[in-house]
Amino acid sequence: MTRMQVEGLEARYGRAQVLHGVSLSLRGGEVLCLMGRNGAGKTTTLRSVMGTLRPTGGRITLDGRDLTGLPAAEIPRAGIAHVPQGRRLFSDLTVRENLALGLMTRGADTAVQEAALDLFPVLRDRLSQRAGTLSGGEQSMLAMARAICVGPRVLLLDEPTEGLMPSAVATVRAAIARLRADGVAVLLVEQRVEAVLEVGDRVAFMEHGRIRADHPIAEVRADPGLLKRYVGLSV
Amino acid sequence: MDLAPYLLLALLEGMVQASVLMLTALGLSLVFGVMRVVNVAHGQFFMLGAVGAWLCAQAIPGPPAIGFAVALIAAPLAVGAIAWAADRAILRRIGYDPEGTIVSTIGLLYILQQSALIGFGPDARAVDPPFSHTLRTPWFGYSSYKLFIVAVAIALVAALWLILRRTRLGLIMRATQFDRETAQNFGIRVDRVYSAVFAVGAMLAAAGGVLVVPNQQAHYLMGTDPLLLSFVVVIVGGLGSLPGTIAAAVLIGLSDGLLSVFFSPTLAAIASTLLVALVLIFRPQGLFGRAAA
Ligand SMILES: Nc1ncnc2c1ncn2[C@@H]1O[C@H](COP(=O)(O)OP(=O)(O)OP(=O)(O)O)[C@@H](O)[C@H]1O
Ligand SMILES: [Mg+2]
Repeated sequence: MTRMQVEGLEARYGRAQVLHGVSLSLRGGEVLCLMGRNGAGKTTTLRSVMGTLRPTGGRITLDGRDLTGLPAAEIPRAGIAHVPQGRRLFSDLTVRENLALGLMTRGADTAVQEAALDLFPVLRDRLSQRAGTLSGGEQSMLAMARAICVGPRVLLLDEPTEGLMPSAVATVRAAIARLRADGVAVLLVEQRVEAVLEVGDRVAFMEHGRIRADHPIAEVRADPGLLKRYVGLSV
Repeated sequence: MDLAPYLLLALLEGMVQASVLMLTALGLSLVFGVMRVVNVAHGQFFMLGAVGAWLCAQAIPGPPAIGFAVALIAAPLAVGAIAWAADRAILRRIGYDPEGTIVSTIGLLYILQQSALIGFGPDARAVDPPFSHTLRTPWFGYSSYKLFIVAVAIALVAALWLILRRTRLGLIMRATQFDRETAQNFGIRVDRVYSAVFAVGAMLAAAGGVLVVPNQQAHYLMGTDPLLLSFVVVIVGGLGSLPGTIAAAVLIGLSDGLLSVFFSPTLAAIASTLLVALVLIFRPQGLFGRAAA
């Protein structure tokens, strides 16, 4: 069943329209990868779903509930969590406080936090450390853990492994696989083809603020021309 | 001439000054830090606190301590409510636009000041201290009420510190200060945080106003000096830095006390102005602030 449906989403920065009717649909337990060249509008799509950027057109529904135009603070309450590009941790605050902010919508539900920490055990030893002093890999894990604390039904990930070493990348990917197995719908913005092929179920290709194509992963594997056409890559 | 008694007196006076200044400046700094609003009307909240203390003293019969105790709680609450309403009615409507908030808080300054003139009148009015015990030193007697001011100010700052560091509300405020957009993405209703912060900032100034009245009398124009001095403290301490604000308030309060006792209040005013100029030139992030990234 469809978990999240985005239809005809339009968004602009000032007078420049960036999204020209983005449509996506996402099932529970599915990883949809969003690919496209720099500036295609991937980050803008996620920010519009989060209500950080107010869409100027289109509709967003979650399990049939219309979320369009809700204040940004209501979106996580509805069940959508976000790992933004560049992580945007509260770097002056401790790891523990960052996780507490993730839990903001659910009271002190420590079970969720424990589950998040089980996925990223290194964070357990660093609860009192300021987030800004974590290594790049640890910061990515914290950004994921913080979003998982929301207890999301939909998780939006914007290049969560940007700039990471292979071992940290593997940890993040394992976490994505785990969430998928738990039935979370994951929308993953990802540039690395091998990551997409490993964790993705489907790939949506974005160009100039529109979705140009949407294919099951098997088709992407079978037809390297797709990647070449939309992201200029060969496998 | 023996300097010790003068020095002690100057230090005591400086500490009293510093305490009230610390409360007012912390309010201004908190509002700027979290909301990025330069609240030009901040001194009026101080004035309203003082006027509120006078009203309580008039309304409540019996020993002055009772009226004062009521004022110390009721006046900041009432002023906080006014600030909360001003945030909803004005600042939120203009979307916290930086220039817009400066202009509109100037307007708020005059509305509050002229309302006080109409309701309270043009005269300065005294309030009896809650107790008038005098502490004896070998050289002079000193009002124990003034030391009470210092104690209450320290207690209030400690309470603010605990709220910011140890409570959920404080965590929400700090997260909003750091990155309001991401805070919203985790369900923080930033508009409510702003209203609360604006109210708490005003309450700190109002508490300062209540504390000085037995010392200084209430007057509808009394909000100007605390506003200017608070700006001095906030600039010297670093915008939005609470430890910096506390340190700068103590520094400026003490130097003000020392210079006023040994030389003249005018020299004290010149010195603090000079300090601001030097800080702005050589260390624009404030003595204790961090450089902008
Ligand atoms: N805050 C902003 N103000 C104005 N224009 C913006 C803003 N953010 C993004 N844009 C523009 O919107 C377009 C889409 O940007 P977006 O960040 O969504 O792209 P992206 O697909 O995420 O790119 P990348 O792969 O580089 O992260 C770009 O042309 C960008 O310049
Ligand atoms: Mg992007």
